Amino acid sequence: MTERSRRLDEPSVGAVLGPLGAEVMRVLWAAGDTTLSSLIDQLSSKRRAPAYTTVTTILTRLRERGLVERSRLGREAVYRATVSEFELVEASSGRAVDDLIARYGASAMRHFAERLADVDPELQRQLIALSESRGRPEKAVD
Amino acid sequence: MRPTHLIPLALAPMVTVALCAAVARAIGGDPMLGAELGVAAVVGAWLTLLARRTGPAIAGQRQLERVARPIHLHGRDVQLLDARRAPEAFVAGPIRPAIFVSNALLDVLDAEELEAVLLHEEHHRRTRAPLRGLALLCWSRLLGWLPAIGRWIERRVAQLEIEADRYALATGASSAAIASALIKCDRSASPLGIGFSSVAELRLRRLLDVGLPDDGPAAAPIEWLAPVALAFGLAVCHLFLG
Repeated sequence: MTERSRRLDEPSVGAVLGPLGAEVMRVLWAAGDTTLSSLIDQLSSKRRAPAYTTVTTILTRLRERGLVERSRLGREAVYRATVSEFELVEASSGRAVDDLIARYGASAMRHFAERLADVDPELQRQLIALSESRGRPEKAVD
Repeated sequence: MRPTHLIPLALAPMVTVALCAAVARAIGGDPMLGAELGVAAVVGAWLTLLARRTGPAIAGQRQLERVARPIHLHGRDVQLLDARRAPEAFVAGPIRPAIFVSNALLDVLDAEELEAVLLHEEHHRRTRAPLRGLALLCWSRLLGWLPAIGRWIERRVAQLEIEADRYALATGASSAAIASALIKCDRSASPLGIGFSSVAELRLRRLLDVGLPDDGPAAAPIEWLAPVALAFGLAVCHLFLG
């Protein structure tokens, strides 16, 4: 199974962030505010001790994605997760779906929607007029 | 559709076969064998292309079904996708097609629009439109460089959508609801919104009943008709050359 299909089959934190990124996030979710040394200790208890530079690189990427924020406690940096696991998986599964649609949409699907921007403006105007001829609509799903 | 429109459709493959036979004769070979090889090459290439695209399409459907949640919507089994960025409704799967809708679609459409969209997709599902679309794409890759063939294929793609709209209209949807749903689902701003503007225009003209083009050859199921016409062309060659 390829990495890409594995990710789409299992829309989990590991699939989105990679194994080490997911472990870092799990430590932060469990422990709340965590210093870098404490984070490395906790990661080392679960697996082979990751290199200091590897962990800081992962943290930098997580900060760039807005998933982690850093503050100072004395001379030590403290890291904190800014999103919950649920929020991350929720957002990521939406991206996975978009990826799949982009990947297979051109040939293997029949989409209802059309790209209207390029059609004759007169047709667009008539389409809007037709849609506005409807009465007051009901909500689709309660 | 006028029967005369079928003539060029049938003639094009037959001319191809006849050309192969003529080439074979010109180089001193058996014209019948040339015709047979011509048919085998065209149909074989088409079947190979179709098979190569059908496998990934089935895999894509399975992957979508794994991340989707099956729900019952307006009396139909539908796969709900957690995609909030764009309202999506489509049918995927060449062999056992399924209807997929996104959360965003349910957020933006009212009940009447949603019913119209589902009826449209129901027609695609019943007629295995994804497989027909793939078959057309393969013809396009193979013979789309011929201007006439390219135009027919494009019109046929539009016809698939027009037939689905007609089904929706015949089974309870209003043209206003389809129009409204089309506007709300406009893919112009989406990076995934790729499509022929000519196909969209043909569909809209049908829906709006303006400047209706003649149903022409595109209404014929050329995706399946072409191999039949090729076989027919070969039989004709057998009769006259064999």
